[in-house]
Amino acid sequence: MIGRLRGAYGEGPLHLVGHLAFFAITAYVVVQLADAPSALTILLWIVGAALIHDLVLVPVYAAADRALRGALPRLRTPIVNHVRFVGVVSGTLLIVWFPVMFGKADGNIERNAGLTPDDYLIRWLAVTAGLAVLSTLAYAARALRAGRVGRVEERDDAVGPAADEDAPRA
Amino acid sequence: MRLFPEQPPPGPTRPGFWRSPLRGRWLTSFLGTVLFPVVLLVGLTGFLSHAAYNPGLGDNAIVPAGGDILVFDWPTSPSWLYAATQGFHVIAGIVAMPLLLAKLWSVVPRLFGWPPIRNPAHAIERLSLVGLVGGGLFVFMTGIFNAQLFYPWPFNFVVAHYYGAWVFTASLVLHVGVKLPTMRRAYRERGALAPLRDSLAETTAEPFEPDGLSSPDPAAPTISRRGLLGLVGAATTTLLITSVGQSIGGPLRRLAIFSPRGTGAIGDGPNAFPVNKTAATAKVTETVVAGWALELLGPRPRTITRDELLAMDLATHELPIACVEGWSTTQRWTGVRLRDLAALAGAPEASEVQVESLQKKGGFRQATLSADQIADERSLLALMVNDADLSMDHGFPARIIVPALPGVHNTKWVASLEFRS
Repeated sequence: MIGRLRGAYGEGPLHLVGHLAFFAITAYVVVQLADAPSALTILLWIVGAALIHDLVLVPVYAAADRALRGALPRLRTPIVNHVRFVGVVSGTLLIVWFPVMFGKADGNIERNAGLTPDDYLIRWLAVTAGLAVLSTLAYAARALRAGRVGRVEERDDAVGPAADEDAPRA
Repeated sequence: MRLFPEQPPPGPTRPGFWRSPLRGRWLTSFLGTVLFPVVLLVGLTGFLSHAAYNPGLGDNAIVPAGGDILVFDWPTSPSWLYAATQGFHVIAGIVAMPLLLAKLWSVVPRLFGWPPIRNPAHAIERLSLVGLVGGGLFVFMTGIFNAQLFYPWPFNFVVAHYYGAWVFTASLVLHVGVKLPTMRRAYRERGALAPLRDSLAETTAEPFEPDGLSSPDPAAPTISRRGLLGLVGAATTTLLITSVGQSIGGPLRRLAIFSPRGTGAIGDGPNAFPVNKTAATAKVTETVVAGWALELLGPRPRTITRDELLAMDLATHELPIACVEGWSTTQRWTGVRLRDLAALAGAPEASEVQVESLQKKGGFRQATLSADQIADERSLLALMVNDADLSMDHGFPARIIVPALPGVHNTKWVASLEFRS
């Protein structure tokens, strides 16, 4: 019996029961939201969030990383992760706080909080600049301590910025 | 009969398209293990904060009837309870973002796995992942936008965020159940923490498996696994430092540089602390409050002028106001105890009080408080803050202050109190 289910369904009974329970809860939510005027919009936003992340955000930052690795000079102490550090930290700040940075909520901030919106964008740029300075200092300290300063001469440096993660095979 | 061609089309559906040497069962398991307790904290405090509105009373419920699963009498002690649950909810939600994005990055090849559907089990599992990935991104994004007063959608935030959390929570429980054997296998094969010891030179790709996460043709690593986790940790730490001050205050408040009310207050003096909604926005003007008297309703209805209230036995307490957006501020409030007003209205054993504001339109112009909240010695109809009259923006002529009550239920510009037994 279980063997036949596995053959037709592809997994064991627990897998089926668990998923049916999940879809039952989702169905209850849909029924609860059915009266809400914008139930369909909520659904679209949920699906849209996944699509925008997977098909826009991930390719964009993967391409940025690829471009970065291609653009960096081949140094005896690889610098790529020092640039990634600035990009990742500053980029996450941007993803989380872009609405205030780009004044998307200025009207609401003035109306509700009674405050003049601050220069969030300037603050972000300042934080990013600070991170860049920190990262550069850390890189200089590392390269000097290891005594490996300057460009790579030989071409056979296995661990280098030319490595090509996530790039389509030629 | 075959639904899809055996060979995937060129592009991301081919395993060789994905070349990161870090992706694999261990990395995803580890990211999931770190992310799970954070999401658990965000979820738990979220559902608690929803219960803090006492949705069973009066018109407090925001979601349609049948949607409130967690209904209990929200306590008044400790007074910082809601500041803590909501502070944790918002701050943990913000700092979880780098982990969430890293976790999703680690599994992105699976989105393009070939064939798209192998069998019925695979099909419904993929459908449930829409709830996990889409639902997860949706609740985190809507929450983070709400903390910035940014509403680019036409739906009610609370309703959508709350029900999105249902779908996300249910799919997460299911996902953990389905993936637990995979995680155990990853830790058994590679050790729970052992891959963290690998330097860049020691970093190797996991062996390729069809339908797995590792690449058949991994590129040379440019960062170690611990390096990647370090980047995630750096992003999390930066988000924490720049947001936690809005909740815990003190010197860190100056570092909450992206929170709209993180560092700001209107003017200076005793009333210089953050405002949720200004009097102007609520359309409560000097004309509206002129000649104000409190309408006290109950078995012995009466009106009381502000001078009469000030002549009553006043109490002073240090109590926080904590907003759903995660910020909070503790101030010294002076006013008449709600239980004294209940007795005055002829309802010393009142089971609830309906509070109405002078604000004519908009959300949260009324709230219903419980018997415990009325009975608490620190629950006030506040007239003063920090020994000065309330400012218009903070609710002049009188506002509610109840310990551990969500900010918006501390009704400002109180017009009437109706005690019911």
